[in-house]
Amino acid sequence: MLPLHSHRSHGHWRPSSPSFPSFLLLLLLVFLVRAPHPAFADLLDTTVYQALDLAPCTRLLNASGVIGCQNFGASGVLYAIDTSDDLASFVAGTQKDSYVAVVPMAMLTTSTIQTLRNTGKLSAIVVTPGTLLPSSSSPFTPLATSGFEWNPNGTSLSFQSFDIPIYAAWPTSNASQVNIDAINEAVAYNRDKGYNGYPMYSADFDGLMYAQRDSDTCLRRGTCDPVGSVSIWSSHSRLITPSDTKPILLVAAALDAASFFHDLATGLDTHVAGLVAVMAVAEAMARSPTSPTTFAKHILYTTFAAEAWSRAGSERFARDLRTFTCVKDKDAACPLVNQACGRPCVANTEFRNVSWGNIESILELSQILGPLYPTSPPSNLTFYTHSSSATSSLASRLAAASADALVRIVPAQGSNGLPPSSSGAFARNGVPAVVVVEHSGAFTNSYYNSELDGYPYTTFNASLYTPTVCSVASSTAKTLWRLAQNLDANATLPTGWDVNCTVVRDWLDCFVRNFSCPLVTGIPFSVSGATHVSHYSGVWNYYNPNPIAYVVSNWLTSTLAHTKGPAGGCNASSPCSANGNPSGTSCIYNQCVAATVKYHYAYGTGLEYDFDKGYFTVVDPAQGTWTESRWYSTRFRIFMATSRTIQGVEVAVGLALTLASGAGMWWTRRWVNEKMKQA
Amino acid sequence: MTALSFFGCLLTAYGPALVIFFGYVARDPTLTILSISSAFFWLLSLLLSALIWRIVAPLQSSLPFSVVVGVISQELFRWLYYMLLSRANSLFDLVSKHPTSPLNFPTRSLVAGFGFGAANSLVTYVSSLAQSAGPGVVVARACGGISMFFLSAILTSLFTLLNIAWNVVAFEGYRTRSWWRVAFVAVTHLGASMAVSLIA
Repeated sequence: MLPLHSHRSHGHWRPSSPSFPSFLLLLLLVFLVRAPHPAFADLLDTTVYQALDLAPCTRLLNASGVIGCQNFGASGVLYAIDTSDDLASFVAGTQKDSYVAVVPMAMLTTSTIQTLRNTGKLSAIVVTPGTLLPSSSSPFTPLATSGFEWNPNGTSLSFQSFDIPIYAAWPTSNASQVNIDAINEAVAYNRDKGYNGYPMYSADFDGLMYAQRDSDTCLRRGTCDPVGSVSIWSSHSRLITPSDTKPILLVAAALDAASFFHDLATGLDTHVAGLVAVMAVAEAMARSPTSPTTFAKHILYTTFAAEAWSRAGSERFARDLRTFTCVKDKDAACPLVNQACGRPCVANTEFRNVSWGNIESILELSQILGPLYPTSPPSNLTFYTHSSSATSSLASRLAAASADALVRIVPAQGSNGLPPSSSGAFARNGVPAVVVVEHSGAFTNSYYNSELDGYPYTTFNASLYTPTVCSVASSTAKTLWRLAQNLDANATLPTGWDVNCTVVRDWLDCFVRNFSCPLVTGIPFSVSGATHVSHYSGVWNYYNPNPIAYVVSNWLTSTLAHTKGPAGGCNASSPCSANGNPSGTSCIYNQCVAATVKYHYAYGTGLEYDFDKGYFTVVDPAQGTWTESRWYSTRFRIFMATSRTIQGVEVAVGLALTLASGAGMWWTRRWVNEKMKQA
Repeated sequence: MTALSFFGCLLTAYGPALVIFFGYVARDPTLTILSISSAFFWLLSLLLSALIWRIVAPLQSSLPFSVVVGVISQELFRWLYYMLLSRANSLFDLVSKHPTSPLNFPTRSLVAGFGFGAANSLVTYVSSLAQSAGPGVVVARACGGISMFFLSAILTSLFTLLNIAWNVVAFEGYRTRSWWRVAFVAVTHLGASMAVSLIA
């Protein structure tokens, strides 16, 4: 649609003056650029253009540069690159137009993109799942520590910068299949014409990324926001104080995963399995016949956010436990209504009661899904513990607890240290850490932080993975139950007490296939109607945790509740403040509950809010400084386009017609004048 | 990218009309007034057909009936405009450079037809023209796969010229009470409009 221009006419006009025709021309132009009725213009627009809902590759920045995609308004003819033969013929082709390559996920590699770029004919890429999934695909880094690559399939694709838009047509729900069908249909039409017979299907992309150069620059210009969300820490204990001298056991998992297309991040093995296991452990512990509040040790369930981005959640949590100092109790520059501390601006400071010196150890459940895409639930798996200190009894206790279980958890051999994990921030500062994973050496998950980790979401069958994850959760719960009471590794467990595998199955299903499950919809203000939500961290702000953090914290509040009203004691129209419910409670699953469940801000430790400047700045380029660019729109649409030659012909016809009319007019006037003179 | 299409369509649809306007109509204030007032009458005819379309619900789903109503309404207002012009004709003669010229009446019917055609082409084609500036087109598959925008531009141009011709013939018909001329205009107008509605 043409922009509306405002025209100003200068001076007055009289019908006989020369400015009269120009005024009329002006009027005509105003008419021309103004569509008469918006509804009709919209109708035309939807006839010509089909907008599709695709997942964009967006731009992130850190202290040293940019990653992801940029887009200055690309468009082109859709061209299928399904195989390396297609690629070769595209490279060899003599077409001169701009093209949008439609490639299957298996072809999305740095070398393909580079080859396509080098032709000078590529304007954008659309990725479809394709028929054959790649055997391995991890756009994350290889995660090398001291020369050892933990993620050997890592291509670092997510950490490269592209100056073209790359969008994915992906089946996140049954409804979204229409996007893929539309693309496939359009590209097949072009292929049948040999990419030569216009009109052909073309596509254009919005998605200009405002942020430039690096995090420091874009934060100053207000064109980006810190990547982050909120971590959650929770406990059965109503009160934890530094003076109660109870040792603290941390049980950790990650709240997020990454992928090349952020909207498609799922991380079934990358983080979901570990997170669900930790949730199941908390649920089992809450049902312990001996109340966990009476245990000799506090158990803290910590789920860390933005872990894919320089471990922002765990690094900031560990640092705040060690060094947080409140400079100013209240600060006008802090936008929070209830400030626990004004500078730094935080909503709660209860974490200061978690004394660093009281932390006995951290046990992290990381990649514990077992093999992806099994045909039936696997049996007899062996998982591994990686420990930061050989003296930790946790690893041997886990081995003892899991000796007869479906999944045996044994200490990993080798000397590669801890795998990349949230525990790193703790182990580095002297807290003994144990990480439970499915791999003894390098990752066995070949889709680490990829959109294929958990794909296809719509047909995801949680039952295939439930026994494995539940077994790990069970061994962990038993180990913690004994350890927290200072019982020995073979102490008798309460009869019939174990992890509830239904909890595991339901949450796996909620997180991957159907986010509109009862566990989620029972939480007030949760997302409604969503089938698959992204597990990408998102951008940090003071008020809105991402959907995953929100539902996990609410579910934990309900599960770990130390204060409860009657079941069914509240609902959307009857809040907890009414009906004589306990004060300070929230309505979750129609019950008023309160628990020790706290958010902890999670964004890169290299970023801090500058109260004098009024925006975030990079304070330590060596630490996490990830920010996400802002953008206005990531619209994608397909349409029929004519060739430049045909457009040239249109201009030629228009010009010829106009000139011919002028000549005809001139000739007619002359002829009439002559006739009049003769008469 | 398709500024080319936009200017191609602009010149095709409105080029001849602009030439006629600036080369002929705009040189004479009387003719300008006549063409603009006839354009106004065309708009009134559109208003009438829109009202009928709105009131008579079954019409809304039937394109042929809408076309018939539109054509009848336009021919009605063509006649009304003739009635107005015939009353004012002697006054226009007074201000004319050649008060007794036999070409005065045909000239006036010609520019009235131009006003009719210009209003018609502006109202029916401007939205499409605005869209033609975008990268996408609707393809007229029955017409060798050319863009509907361009096809409409050609038709718009032709309809402007047709309206001029129809008006000259119809006004002559009204003046001389030659009803076959009037009928010829109505029938060909209906035929042309029906033919165009086939590509929609």
